Amino acid sequence: MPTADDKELIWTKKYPELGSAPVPIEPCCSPAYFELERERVFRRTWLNVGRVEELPNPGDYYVRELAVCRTSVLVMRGRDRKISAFHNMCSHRGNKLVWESKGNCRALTCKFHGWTYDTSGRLIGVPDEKNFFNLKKDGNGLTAVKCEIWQGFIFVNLDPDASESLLEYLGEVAEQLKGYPFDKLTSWYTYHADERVNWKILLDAQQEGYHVPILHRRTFVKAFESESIPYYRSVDVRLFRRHRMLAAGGTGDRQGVSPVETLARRYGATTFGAMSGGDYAGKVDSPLTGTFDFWVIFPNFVIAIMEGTYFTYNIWPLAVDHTLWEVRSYYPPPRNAGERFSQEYAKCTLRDPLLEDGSVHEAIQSTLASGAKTHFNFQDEEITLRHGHKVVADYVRDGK
Amino acid sequence: MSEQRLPDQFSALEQFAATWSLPTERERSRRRLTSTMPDIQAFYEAILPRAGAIIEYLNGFALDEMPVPERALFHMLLPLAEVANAVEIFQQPQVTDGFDPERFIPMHE
Repeated sequence: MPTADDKELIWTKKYPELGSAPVPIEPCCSPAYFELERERVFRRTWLNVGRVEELPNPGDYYVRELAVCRTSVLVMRGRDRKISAFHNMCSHRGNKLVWESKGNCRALTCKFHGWTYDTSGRLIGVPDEKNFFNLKKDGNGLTAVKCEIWQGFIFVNLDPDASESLLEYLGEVAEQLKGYPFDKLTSWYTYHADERVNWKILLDAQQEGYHVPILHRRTFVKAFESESIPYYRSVDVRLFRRHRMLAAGGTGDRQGVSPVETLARRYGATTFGAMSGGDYAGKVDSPLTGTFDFWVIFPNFVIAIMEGTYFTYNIWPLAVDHTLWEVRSYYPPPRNAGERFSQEYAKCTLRDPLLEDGSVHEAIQSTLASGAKTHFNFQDEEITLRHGHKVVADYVRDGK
Repeated sequence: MSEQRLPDQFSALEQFAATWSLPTERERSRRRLTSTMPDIQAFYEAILPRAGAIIEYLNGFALDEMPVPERALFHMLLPLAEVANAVEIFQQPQVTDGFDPERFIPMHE
């Protein structure tokens, strides 16, 4: 019978209150549970919807379709330079106000009857206004959505009664990520994958390292191979009230560097080089615990930081078994062909291993609803999943 | 060879330009996925030994103001990043057991 020594069951000893019991599958395939998540998680928490660099100028706006919150959100930089968010919905008959994904405007006009709003959401024009009945323009602006910014990340909260500020909500995450150069890594590449999978299954497949030596045996494995045991071990796991972090310690360049990787690293951070803590150009001093720190900001936002590059996931539920996975990887704005090539290599070599993950996401979901199994068996390195499922369950039960 | 696309000093690579000088990730990814490994390997082996010199040369031009031949060369350098994993890791064009790349959509172009 295996016994635990200092290499086993580390995190469960650190967080014994989470226990070690198998975790129910039903929340990942029950439509009723999904409806509770919609109301009690996604409509009541701070959700990242982008970055300030997407709105450099007054009048710039973009739209995010938040199907899980049953709304479309308009995020706009006003003439006063302030960034605000609104339900993307006309006050007249409810028509969706902005149909394109982004743009710049002096004012926004509804395509239906021409009601017009300024960049602060105020109703400023109603055609044939006198034919209404004492219509008050003041009370009929766009419906605001709570919107706050942390480190350039724009968050919204669909709960008009939300009492916590974004900073209070982020808590230790904001504190511990302080000093990471998000403001220098402002050139990014975005992928969208529309997957037949529950949002938690997708997140769970990402937020542990146990799978790396197996699923990623061709790709990421060499970044984290342990010298002492043939399995993955985090160098730290931190569980907060809602959020969590796992840190992976890289192998450096001990496993060798391929020819194209070698070339790319002359001009910037590559995914593999940065994850493993190897040698490359473009390192930026960063508050890291391992070489690759994976921060999960409840419920659906991930910031994975390395030195000189980071990536984010926005995991958008569409239905109980349907999710949009939005992946962005961030670099310094490329100044020349070499830096652009390095980034091309970095993003392709992030994308390919994520394709390995994508297959598994859908393969898991395809069997969950069979009822053949009722529980998942999580090991110690999967304590992050255990924590995630508990936080969701607490929200679903208590609404907070 | 019908016309010269690349700067003179890289004319040895001219035979690959029609196939591999591709401006978008979508096109580069599709080229990788629809090529045979011998074709990918031939491109990789031709461009890799010259890639350092190509970069040093192209670094003399502003990224968004490259003349047409330099831009064509740059668009032939980027697919080296695309095919690297096919040659160095998977030994096949596709990611082994991978998710359909057509469903993993680059939104940046």
